Amino acid sequence: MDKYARLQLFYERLQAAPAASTQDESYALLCDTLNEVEDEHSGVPNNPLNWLTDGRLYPPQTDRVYAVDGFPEVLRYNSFRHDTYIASNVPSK
Amino acid sequence: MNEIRQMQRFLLRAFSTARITLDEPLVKDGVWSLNLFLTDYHLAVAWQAGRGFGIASNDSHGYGEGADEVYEDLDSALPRIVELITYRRPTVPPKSVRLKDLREQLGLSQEEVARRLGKKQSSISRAEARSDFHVSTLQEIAQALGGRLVVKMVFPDASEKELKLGGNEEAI
Repeated sequence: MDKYARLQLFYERLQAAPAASTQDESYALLCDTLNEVEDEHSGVPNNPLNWLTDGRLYPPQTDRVYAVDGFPEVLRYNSFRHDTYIASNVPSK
Repeated sequence: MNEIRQMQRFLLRAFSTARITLDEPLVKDGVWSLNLFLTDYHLAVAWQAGRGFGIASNDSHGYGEGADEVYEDLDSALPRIVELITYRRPTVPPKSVRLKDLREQLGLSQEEVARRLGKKQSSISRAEARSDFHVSTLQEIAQALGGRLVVKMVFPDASEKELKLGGNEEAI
């Protein structure tokens, strides 16, 4: 399965999953869902320490987390040329 | 000043019309992220102490893909980055890999590969530095890495023929 189809499958599974209630749960859901799709369909073993592209899609790693100016409750995870923002949909009191 | 900050300073001077962002990681010893934006062009650079630079500027770069190109230090990364930006070129993902890179992609140490082959780690180190191999040696290494060796000949008309391996051993 090519990366475009795997990405589409990842999005579908993520949307179908029950909502997470914390930032950690959200991040874990994203990682688990993408890793499952890649384990099933990429044909490439999981090795996130490898920086060079190896044909597998990896969830953003915890050593690439950044603050977002003006939004202290939002975390930005960076992958090459892509950002993933995780925050609560519930306004803080 | 670390290498990524040095790169940022250089790029700010060399490409004054570009928007350049540099993000410091929240975790200690994490990955720094530099992004350069020009009209219709985006170059992403990641840097981590001891790991070097990873870069990607290919529009087909997918979510979660690793770097297209990796460089050990500023001296080797910067000329390539300047070339890419100057000519608005995409990075080139690897089509072929060196034996060392392949072993690392598979998450195996030289010691582990040596253990699987019943050899010393130094022999693996020497093999990874070589460009001339006996077919039987490559077959052994491929098996130790969990794969199998396939030898192909590619012709000017782009046709390919897989070579049957057998008979007298020959050096490639």
